[in-house]
Parts: sequence; C-alpha cells; structure tokens
Amino acid sequence: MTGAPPRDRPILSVRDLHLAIAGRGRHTPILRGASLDIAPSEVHGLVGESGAGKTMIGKAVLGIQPSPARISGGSVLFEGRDVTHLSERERRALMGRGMGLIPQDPMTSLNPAHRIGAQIADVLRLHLGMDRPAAGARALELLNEVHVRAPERVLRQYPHEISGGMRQRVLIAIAFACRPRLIVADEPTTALDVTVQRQVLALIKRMQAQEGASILFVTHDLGVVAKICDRVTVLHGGRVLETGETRRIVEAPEHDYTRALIAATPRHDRPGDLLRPVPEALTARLNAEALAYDAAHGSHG
Amino acid sequence: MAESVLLEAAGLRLSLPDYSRKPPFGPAPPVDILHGIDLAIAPGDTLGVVGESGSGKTSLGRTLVRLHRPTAGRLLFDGRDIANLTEERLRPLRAQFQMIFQDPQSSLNPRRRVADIVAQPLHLHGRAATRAEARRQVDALLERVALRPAHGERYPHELSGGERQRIGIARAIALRPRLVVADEIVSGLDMSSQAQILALLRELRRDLGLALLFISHDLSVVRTVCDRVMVMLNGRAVEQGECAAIFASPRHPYTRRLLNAIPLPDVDPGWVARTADNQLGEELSMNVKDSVALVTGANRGVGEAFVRVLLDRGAAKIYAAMRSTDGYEAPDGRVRPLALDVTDHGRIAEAAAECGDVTLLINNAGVNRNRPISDDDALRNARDEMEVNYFGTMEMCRRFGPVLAANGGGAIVNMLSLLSRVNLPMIGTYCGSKAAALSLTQGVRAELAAQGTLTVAVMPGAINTRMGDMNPPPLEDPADVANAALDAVEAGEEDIYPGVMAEGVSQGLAADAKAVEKEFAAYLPG
Amino acid sequence: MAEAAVSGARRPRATGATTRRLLTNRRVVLGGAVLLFFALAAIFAPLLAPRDPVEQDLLLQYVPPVWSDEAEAGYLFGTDNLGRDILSRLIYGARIALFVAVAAAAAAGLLGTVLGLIAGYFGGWIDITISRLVEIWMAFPAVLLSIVLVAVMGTGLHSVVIAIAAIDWTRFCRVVRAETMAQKQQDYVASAVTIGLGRARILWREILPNVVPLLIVLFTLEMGIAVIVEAILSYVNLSLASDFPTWGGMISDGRKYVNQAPWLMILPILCVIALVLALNALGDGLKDALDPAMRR
Repeated sequence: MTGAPPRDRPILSVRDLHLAIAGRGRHTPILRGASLDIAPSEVHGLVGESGAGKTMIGKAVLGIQPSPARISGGSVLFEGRDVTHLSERERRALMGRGMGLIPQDPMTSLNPAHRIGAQIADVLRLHLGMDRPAAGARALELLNEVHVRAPERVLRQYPHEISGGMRQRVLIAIAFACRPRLIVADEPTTALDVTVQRQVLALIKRMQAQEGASILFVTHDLGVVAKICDRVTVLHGGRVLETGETRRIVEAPEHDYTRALIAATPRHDRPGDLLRPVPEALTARLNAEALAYDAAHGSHG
Repeated sequence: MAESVLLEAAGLRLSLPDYSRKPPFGPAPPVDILHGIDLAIAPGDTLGVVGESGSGKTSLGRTLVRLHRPTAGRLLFDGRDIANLTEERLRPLRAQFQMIFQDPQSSLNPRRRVADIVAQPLHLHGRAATRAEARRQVDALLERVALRPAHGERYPHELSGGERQRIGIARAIALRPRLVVADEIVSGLDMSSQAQILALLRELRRDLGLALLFISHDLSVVRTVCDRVMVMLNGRAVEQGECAAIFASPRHPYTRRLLNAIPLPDVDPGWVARTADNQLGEELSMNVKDSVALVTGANRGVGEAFVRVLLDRGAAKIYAAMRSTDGYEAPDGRVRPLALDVTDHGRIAEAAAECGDVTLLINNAGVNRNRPISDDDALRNARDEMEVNYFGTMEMCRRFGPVLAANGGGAIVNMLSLLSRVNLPMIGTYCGSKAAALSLTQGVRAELAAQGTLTVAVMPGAINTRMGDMNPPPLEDPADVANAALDAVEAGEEDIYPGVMAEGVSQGLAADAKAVEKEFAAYLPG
Repeated sequence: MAEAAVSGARRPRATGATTRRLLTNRRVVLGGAVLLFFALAAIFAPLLAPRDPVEQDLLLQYVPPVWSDEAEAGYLFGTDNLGRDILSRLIYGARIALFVAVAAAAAAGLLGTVLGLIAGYFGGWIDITISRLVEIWMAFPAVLLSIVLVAVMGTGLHSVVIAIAAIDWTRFCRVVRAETMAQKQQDYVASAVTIGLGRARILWREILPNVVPLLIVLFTLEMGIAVIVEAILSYVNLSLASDFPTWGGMISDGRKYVNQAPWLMILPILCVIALVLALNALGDGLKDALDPAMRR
C-alpha cells in the first residue's frame, strides 16, 4: 500500500460539491454544497430519499460527470487528488486499483454476451496487467472468496444462467478484484430478496474488513445503515443535514429530518408504533431552506 | 368465521404456460405457480401475504381478483364460487373486489389524464350519470387520497411515484369495493412516501370498512398494516395466523429466517458477523417439483409416504428403492420400482450408474432391532443397525454424490430420528447408529455443499408406522413428516425437527440437555 | 408534497413536451421540411407547373437544364426527348408518388394494424393463424409479387396501391402484434380488466392509443417504401400509361437517352432519393421523439 495517506487523513474528501442540471435557461441544482469525509477502512453510509442527490455524489466520486448534470463547484479529493475533472484516460487509470463500484442492479451490470469468468478476468488484465492464465486463476480465487458454490462451473456460465444473488456476488468479486482502496456501493442490496440481502451485506463487510478498503455505502434503508456503516451522512435536497457516528445518528439524531426518517421506518418488533410520515411542514421547511441556499449562492458556473 | 367470510380460497392451484420451455412446435408446458392455497378473509379484515421473489404471492393476488383463472380449487366471494366464472359473468361482480398494482407507472394508462383514469370505473358501472357528476366524484376521490382536483388534469408521467400510487388507490376505491388486493404497493417508494401511503391505507380501511389483502416482501410493513399474515414459499403457504402470534414465535424455519434477515434500524455491529459462515454462501435449496427423487425403503412407512407426497408435489420421476420389488405396485406411472438393498454396496454402485438423473436422494431405509444391550445377539443387532442406518446412508451419499453434482447439485435428505440427539432406554444400539448417522450427515454437509448439494438431516419423533408404534405418543403422521422434509429442501434448511414432540425436545435439549435425558430415561419399560 | 424533489421546476405538460421534442429533433425537422416541400408541390401542381406535363414540343427536344450554356429561357430543368417540360413532369410526378405513398401506406397500415392488434391481444389459435399467414406471405419476394399482382389486375394507379398494400401489410402486422403483446403485459390492461372493461374496449380504447406513436413511425417509413415500389413499377411500365408523368417512368425513358441527355434520368432519380431519404429520416426521428413519450 505505497502512497496511501496516513491513517488520520481521509481517503476521500468531498468538499462543498455543487452539481446542477443546466440548459435552456434553466438551472436546477441537485447538490448544494455537499461535504463528507471518509477515513481509511471506514464504511460510510450516505442516506437519503430519491432526489436527495446521493447517487450523484457516488457518480462524482467515481469521476463520472453525471450527464445531463454538471459539477459547478467544489471538489472530490481521493487521496488528496481532485477527481472531478479527470480525462477519461486518467479516470480509467484510477478505477480498479484505486476505486471499485458495486452497482445497484445485478441484472444489467454484467454483459449478457460474455461468460462470468471472462468478465472478471478482463478487469484483472486491464488494471493489473495479468496474463490470461493468471487472471483465470485469480478469478476462481475471487469467486471462492465471495462464497460462490461450484465456482469452476460459474466461471463458464453466462449472467442469465445464475441467480440475482449470485450475480451480485460476482459484481462484489469484480469490485474487490484489484484490491481498491475505496468502493462505491450504490444501493447494492435494493434489488435483492431480504434473505439474500443479509448474506450479501455480510459478504461486503467481510471483504471490506479483509482488504481494509473504505466504502461509500449509498442507500435509502436506515436498517442497512445501522447494521453495516461506521459513520453516516444524511442528505436531503442535495444538502448534508447531519453526519456522525452511526450510533449517534440512529439513537440520538440531531436533525428533525433524521428523526422523521427513523419514525417513518416500519419495524416488525414494534407493531404499536404507528408510522409517522415525514411531516409536510418539515419537508416544506427543508425545501424553503434549499431555495434560500440557491438564492444566497447564486448559480454556480 | 363461517358466516362472515367475504373471500375464501380452498385448495387454490394455478399453473401458467412456461414460455421458456416451449418446444418449437406445440404449446408451452404448464408450470405450477400455486400449490393449493387456503385462506379466508372476513369483511374489514386485513391479511398480509409475505414472500420473496418467486413465492407466488403476486400470482395469488391476481388469482384472487380473477386476473388468472385458477387451475383447481374453490374461490368463494361472498359465498359464490367465482373460480370458473366467465369474464362476462364476472364483470358485474368486479366492482366489489379491486386491485392496486405494484407499479403505478405501468398500471395507469400513460395516454389518459388522471381524471379520466379515475372516472372510468364510475362511467362503466353507471355510478355517474353525467360528466359533471363524475367530475364531482373524481374530485372527492382525489381529495380522499390527499391530492388536489388539479392533479386530475395531469398525465400519469407528470406525477411522482407516491402521487401515482395514490391515483391507483383512488381508482381502486372509486366503486366502493368490499375487498382490495394491494400488491407490493409501497415497494418502489421512499420511506416517507411509504409511510404516507400506509397511513392513507389504514385510514381508508377504517372509514370504508374495506377488507384488505396486502401483499409485500417486507414483514415490517405487513406488521404495521395487517392483523393476520400468511408466509409463502414456492407457491405454498408455510405458515398462517395472527400477526401477534407469528411474529412472537414463528413456527416455520423459513418464517424465522425471513424475520432474522430484516435489518432493523438499531445499531448492532455484530449483526453482520452473526451471519454464520455457512450462510455466507449462496442459499442451497431446490424445488421438489420436477425433481427426480430416489427414496430408499419406499415400500412402507415413511418411505411410502414420501413417494405419495413427492407425487403430489409434482416430482418428475421417483425411484422407489426397496430390498425386493416383488409384489410392489407402483401407485403412478412416474414411480419406478428399484431393487436396492442398502447393505449391498456393489448394488448401490450399480444403482448410481442406472439412475443417473437423480436430483433428490432420500435416505429413508432404517432398521431398529429394538433390543436391549443385555440381549444375547446385541453385537449382531448393533452391527445390523450400523450396516443399514450408518454405512447404508454413507454409501448412498458417497455413490450418489457425483450423480447429484452432475445434475446441478440437488439435495440429500437423511431420515434420522430424534434418538440421534437423545437416547431411549433399551435401544441404545439403535440410538448409537442414528447418532453416528447424524454426525456423518453434519460432517459431510460442507463437503457436499461445495458441489452445490444441500444435505438435510430430519429428526422426527415417533411416527405412526409399524416401526414406530411401540413408541410413546404423540405419533406423527408420516405424510406430515415427509412434507416437512421436502419443505426443508425447498427452504434450504439443514437440521429439522418435524412435529410437536420433536420440536419440543429440540428446544428442551437446547435449554437443558440433562433434564431431557432424565425424562427419556423414565420411559424404561416394565 | 413530500415526494416532490426540491427542483423548483414543474414537470412539463405532456403535449408541450412532445411537440418540443419533435421540433428539436434534427431529423424530424429536416425530413419534415423536405416532405412538406414535395407535398406542397404535389398539392399545388396545377398552379406551380409552368407547362402541361404531357404537352409535347418537338422543336424543343433535349433542352438542357438552366445551368447549361445551351439552356432555353423558361425551361428550368430542360426538356426531354419529346420536348416536354421536365420541371412540370417532376412536379406532377410528385403528385403521383405521394398519392401512392399515402394511399398504400394507409391501406397497408389499416389491414396490418387490425390483424396485428387482434393477433397480439387474443393470442392462441387466432394469433397462430394470423402469424402463419404473415410468414407465408413474407416468403414471397416482394417486388416480384407486386409485379405479378399488377400484371393480373392490370396497370393503373389503383392496382399499384393495392399491390403495395397487399404486400406490406405484413410489416405493420408483425410490429403491431409484438407491441400489442408487450402492452398487454402492462398493468394498466390488468387494471382495466379489474374494473370490468370488455375486451373490445380494452383493445381499442386502452391499447390502441399506446400503439399509435409506433404506427406513425411505421406509416412514415412505409411511405418511403411505397415511393420506391411505385418508381420500380412505373420503371417496368406497370404503373400508368407511359406518357403520364411518373418519376419511375421518367427514369425509364431517360435511360434510353442517358448519353446525350443525362439530366432526363438524373433529375427524377434525385427526386426519388430526396423524398425517400426525407421519409426515412422523418421516420427515424419520430421514433426517437415519440418513444420516450410513450414509455414515460
């Protein structure tokens, strides 16, 4: 791990990130000065509802300009280096050994025309320059690590021949294949059945602990956050409302919105609690704050 | 409940054509989706239906509102069997049972304005004489679901997911139905939209006296909405009852596993780590339907029950293995008698070569000399028991392991006994052979799992067969035991204790093994 | 509303959005403009054409177009071997080309759509019967079949239209059938069943409107095909009497004099190419522009 930053310095630092959809005289802000830090070996949850901008942050961290939106201010420092304006070539060099991605949809994230083995081996050959036999052997090892049964057979299979849970395992194997220092996990268990979700979460956690990687864990599910994340950032309307240790956020949330989200989460062990939707007044207040922020900061770019 | 049942299903079965297996010429073969569902909903009642993907819960919902026609079974709505009514006969009744669909995106016609969508059922059933009257009712309905009349002018794609789902609800209640089937109606929504929709649903139930069948993959959501719950797995209801009881003490292992898998929003760093090593891997489980099974000791007792139950659950072929097939009459064309003595190891190897298509091996053959250790022939008895119960099982696993691997993994069911965990006086050698077989089963499990084979150990109490009739009651029905074992195969369970007695003993063993042992020692005859 | 994102922007109205998407699509605008140009020429042919397209002037044979040194004033595109004004013939030719295109596409579309909707919605033996018919139909080579049909029915504009429709309805039928089957899987159809809508109304009132965008695209592309087939048929003299101005007939005539008067052949070829390209571009553009409106 040469060149890794010292332990106290964050491996990833999102600073005052602004992102907007601009065009045809309209300027629609998506991220309004979002900031977060992830320490080495930290699993950092990014929670929010749809439209909060959490997926956009994930994309920006991966150096992707999320079309049609554009980064209009701020920076994303990965190991001290700004990744917001990388060329395609620089970005590709960063992927693999620097960063990995566990995508949301295991159905569409594998190429249906290629065998599983070839898809894992391609990543290894591209980023680590392995030759064909070495990549094949390492692919087998990786499938073993993600607890795929009969990995030899799976290597020869096509994506449509294996289950959704197994596909997500393959994608986890690909994400960790080049031993990246940071993984962006974008709602990695949302599409899975709950029993499979538990296994996949356990697998991600185990691989993360074993490799010492950091994870930016994007999710809408506070339950998942409570089980797997060390720290959490709560996002709404592209603004960070609060950030802190998971226990503190879940047990003693400071922001009304975090409290409201927890109250809106159903739980089978407390049937007496009636679910309380996020109060309209709160949503209205947050929207007003967001618009006030826009007014105060003008349009970036 | 008999007089106040609104909707009742009995033995409801459904098969649909399976286009993935359609031959180039001729129709697609049917695939069984529902295997005999029984349920009843009283007016104003709420029943939650929970299951994972492929459990058949959505098909069940669609069958209950007769979007599908059941292949067998009764479906009574308000006392009238609607299972086989034609669409024309059904149409006047449809106003009384409505459905809210999972995906409001696809369930609202994208080419119609919201007001037209909501008004359509009103016009169709003559609930609004004039346009103005329809519009007035539409506005009232929109208000009912917390939308403004202005929403009526929009097209579905101009609304948010939560708003669209409200339109789906407004349309479903427009005709004032007595039953609404809600199929995963919050699964695509944010937490706050979800909470709003659930609150709305509760309100509507209270105000309109709706009966609700609420289908969801999420036990937590079901718990907040429903009074009763039904857990589905592979087209069967594995457990059904009052929410309070089922959530407090789930009886079926699958229900337990579902509950345990839900991440509650409580900080629990150990939660992830507690996912046992053997659960990290892909779940092993298989469908009994279309399996090719081999049952040893198939001519009597539990073995015979296995053959019957396998037939009932749609096994493609069953090798009924027994020492001698003389006089055995196969109950069905799918049953192939097979002469196989599990103490004849040469014959086992031959059988493995002959039956190369087996995907489910049921090691049921067992022997109990039923003699105390003081018996003159104790050594020979013990050897006989070990030969069948231990070596027979071992050799079957050894020879059929590669067959199962070649057929994609499959499953092995080893029929053991509660006496592999706890001993009964006077039959110590039998208990010893079963204990050895249990250790064997648990020992080879990981080895077989690596090739994708699930290995299930079944530990029933006394069973109502000739072999078990000298045992203390309660006696289990052999068919129940066979069904429990096959449920375990489908759920991917590893060690099961079917029946009240077995379950009780296994809990007792976990709490205080010595006490159970003492209790069993008291069964000393004479 | 809580679920509304903090975007501040209202979602655009459906109709407005579709119009905007159409007007910002380059292929739609270009293809539409060229089509409009030909359509106006066809409609106002009697006003626009400087001369009678069949009037011969044997004193003014082979007058080259205006860009040539030997051009005659008043004959923009020159004259042909019989001294007929080429510009006027092209303008009247557009009339025939577009009439055939619209009529044939409409007839093929009507037949194909009705059968496609029925096959896709009812399935079973109805679907099997219609699908087999389509397959057998498509096994015949299209151009040969049309020549045989016209030969049997006799030449003339109506024969041409009927021949094209009789062949190309299969194109509509297949696509509409597939789209109907896809739409039938959508829950809005299941929802229409649960409120008690009858089959015919579900098919016409619920499914058909969702197939219309696809039909518009197919119709446009079919017009392009019809223009070519009509040109081929008149080229082999199976369309209208040879002195009647059709582009295909002009190409056929011009071929004989291609050495001394190449413009006789080149100009109608350019017209056919321009119109067909425009229709194809329009069809492709419409597919892009209408599709998201249908799915979203």
